[in-house]
Amino acid sequence: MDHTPGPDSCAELRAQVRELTAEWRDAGRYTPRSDSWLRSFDLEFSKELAARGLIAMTYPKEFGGAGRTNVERLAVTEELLRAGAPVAAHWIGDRQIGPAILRHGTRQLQEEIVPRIASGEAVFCLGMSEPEAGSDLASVRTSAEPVDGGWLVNGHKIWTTQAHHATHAYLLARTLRGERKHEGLTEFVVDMDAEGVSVTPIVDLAGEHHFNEVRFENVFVPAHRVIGEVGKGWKQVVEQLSFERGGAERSLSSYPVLIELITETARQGDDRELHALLGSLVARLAVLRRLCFEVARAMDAGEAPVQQAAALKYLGNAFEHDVIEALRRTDLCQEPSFDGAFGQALLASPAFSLRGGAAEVLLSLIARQEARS
Amino acid sequence: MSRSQFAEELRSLVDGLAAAGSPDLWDSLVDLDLPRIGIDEERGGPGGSLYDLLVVVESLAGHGIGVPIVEASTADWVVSRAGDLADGLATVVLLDEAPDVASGTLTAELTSVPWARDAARLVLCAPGVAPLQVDLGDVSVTVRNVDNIAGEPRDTVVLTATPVTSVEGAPAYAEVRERLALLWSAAVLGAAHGAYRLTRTYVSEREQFGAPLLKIPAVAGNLARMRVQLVQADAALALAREGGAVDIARITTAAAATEIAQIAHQLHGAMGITEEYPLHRLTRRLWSWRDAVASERRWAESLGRRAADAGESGVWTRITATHTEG
Repeated sequence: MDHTPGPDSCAELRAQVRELTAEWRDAGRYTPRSDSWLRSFDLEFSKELAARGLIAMTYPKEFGGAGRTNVERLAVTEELLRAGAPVAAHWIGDRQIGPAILRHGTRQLQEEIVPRIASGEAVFCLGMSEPEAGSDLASVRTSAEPVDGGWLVNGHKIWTTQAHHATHAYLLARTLRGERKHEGLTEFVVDMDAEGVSVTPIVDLAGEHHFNEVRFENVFVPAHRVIGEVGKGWKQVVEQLSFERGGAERSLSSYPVLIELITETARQGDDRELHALLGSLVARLAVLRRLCFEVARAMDAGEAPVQQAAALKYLGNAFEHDVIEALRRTDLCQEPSFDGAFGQALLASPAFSLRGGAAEVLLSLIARQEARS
Repeated sequence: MSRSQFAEELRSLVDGLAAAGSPDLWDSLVDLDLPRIGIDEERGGPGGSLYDLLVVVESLAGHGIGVPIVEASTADWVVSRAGDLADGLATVVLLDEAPDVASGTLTAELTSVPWARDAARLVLCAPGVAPLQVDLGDVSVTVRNVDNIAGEPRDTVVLTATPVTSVEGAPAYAEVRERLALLWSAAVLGAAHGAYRLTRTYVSEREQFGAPLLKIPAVAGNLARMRVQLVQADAALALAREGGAVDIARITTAAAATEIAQIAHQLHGAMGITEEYPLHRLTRRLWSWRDAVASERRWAESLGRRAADAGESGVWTRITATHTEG
C-alpha cells in the first residue's frame, strides 16, 4: 500500500460511488438487481469505474492501480453491491487475479496483465472447478504438459461464470501426477481466444446464461504465463480463497430484497413481529460488515485470513438466504416474477452457498482448523 | 504497559482466580477492587477502563461463575458519577416507569432484583428521573429469595415507605441500560466461549465407534457451527466496544448463545445433562443471561423499528459509519 487512508477517504469514495451509480441508474443505463457481481455484465460500466480509479484500487500505481488499502476497496465494493450495479465484468479479475499475479507472478506477467485488469480491458473467468473436481478442488485433472517454450493444456472446466465474455482465464492445472493430489498443481493465465479453447453455455434455472463449460484442447500457453511456482499452485490457491471468500459480495447478494423489506416494514407501521425480524437482520448485517472490515484490515497487514474469510462466507450466505425468506413475512412474496427483486434473488439463491466453497466444505475446513488448534 | 497488555494480564489474573474454584472468589475480587475497575481513582475506584471491566466479566463468565460483577460494577459506577462510594455490595435494577416517590419514601414491590439478599444498597434507574438509592438494610425492606434457572438470586424486594435518596448528577437511564447491555453481552460471550471450549475438549477425547467423536463429520460440522457463532459474537462485541452499537452486540450474542447452548448439549450427549458435569453451569447462564434486563426480542424490535423509520439509507449509513474505517 502506498498510503494510509485518512478517516475521510472512505467517505469520499462512498460519495463518489453513490453519485456515479445514481447517475447511471437515473439515466436508465442499468437496473439494480440481486447478485449483480455475477449476473450483471457491462464492460462500459467497468471501464467507467476503471477511469475513476475505482477498480484495481489496491494495486501499486506502477501497474495502473490506485495504491489504496483493502479497507478503502471495501468501501467501494460494498457501495457498488448495495446499488446492485453491473460489476460482473471486472469483479473476478479485480478481486483475486490481479492480487494473485501481484503476489506470485513474474515482473513480466505483472506488466503484461495487471494494467489491463486495472483498465477494465482484461475480463477474467475462473478455471477452477471441473466435472470431477467441484468442492474437491485439488482433484483437478486438466493437465499442462511442458513443451518447447511453454505448456500444452488439455482438460475440461465447468461452472465457469462469464467465460463467454472473458478475454482471459485463470486456470488451475496439473503439471505433475504424483501420489499427493495437493502437489503438482500450477496456476496459469490463458488467453480465451487461444486456439483450442471452446466455450459452451450452461443455462441456469432462471433461464439465464452466466455459467459455461470450457474445454481446452492442446492449448499452447507460453511459459511466462505461469503464476508463481510450477507445482506449488495449491498453496497459492488457498491464499487466493481469502480474497475470494472474504468480501462484501458474500453478504450482499440479496441486498435489493433487504431494501424492499425495510420499505415494506415501514409501510406496515406497527407490525412488531416484522420489526423484530428486520432488527435481527440489521444486526447480522452490521456484524458481517464488521467481519468484512476485519478481513480487509488483515489483508492490509499482509495476512491471508483464510479461516476468518471462510467463517464470513458461511455466515454471509446464511444471511443472504434469510433476507429472502424474511420477505415472505410480507405479501411481496406472492407471484414472484423474473424481474422483481424477490424472484431474482430467490432464483439466484441456491448458488449463494455453493460457489466459492460450499457451506459444508467451509464448515469442514473450519472444523479441521479447530481440531488442530 | 499498553492497554491490550494490561487487559491480557487482567484476563490471566481473573482466569487464575476463577480456575482455582475458591468459594471466596467474590471476596478476592472485591479485595482486588476488580468490580470497581473502570471507575476513576478520584471517584473512589481503582481506575482502568470499561474495556478492562469487560475483560473481567468475560473471563469470569467463561468459567461458568455467577458473581454479582455486572450489577455491582454498574451500581457503583452510577453512584460514583454523582458522589462518594460506600462499602458493601450494591446492586441495580431498571424500571420501565419512574416510581412514585412520596416525601422521600417509596412503596413498591420490585421483582427480579439481582443479588438483593446479599446486597447492602440498591440503585433504581427509571426513564426521566435521577436514579434512586435504597438502603436494603432498612427495617422497612423485605427481601423474598427467588432464583433464576442459573441459580442466581433474582429476588423480590418489597419496599414499604422505605427512605430513598436521589442520586443527582448520575448517568441517565438510557446510559445505564446501555452499559448493562454491553456488560451482559460480554458475559454471554464469555460463557459461550466456555461452552465451546468444554465441548471441543469433550468431542476430542470422548471415543465412540473406536475413534474420538470429532472424527464423525456431523460432529465436526456442529463444532464448526459453534465456532462461526463465536466469530460473529466476537465481532459484535468488538463493534460495540468501539462504536457503541450495543443493541447489535446484545442481539448477536444472544443469538449465538442460543445456538451454542443447543449444540453444546447435543454434542455432549447425556453426560451434558448431569449435575456433576460442568456444562450446565455455562448453558443455564447462557439461557438466563441472553435475555437479562431486556430480551433479545425487545432489542431486535426496537432496532427494527428504528431501521424502518430510518429507511435503507439511514440503516446503511449507520452500518458503514466512517469512524470504523479511519
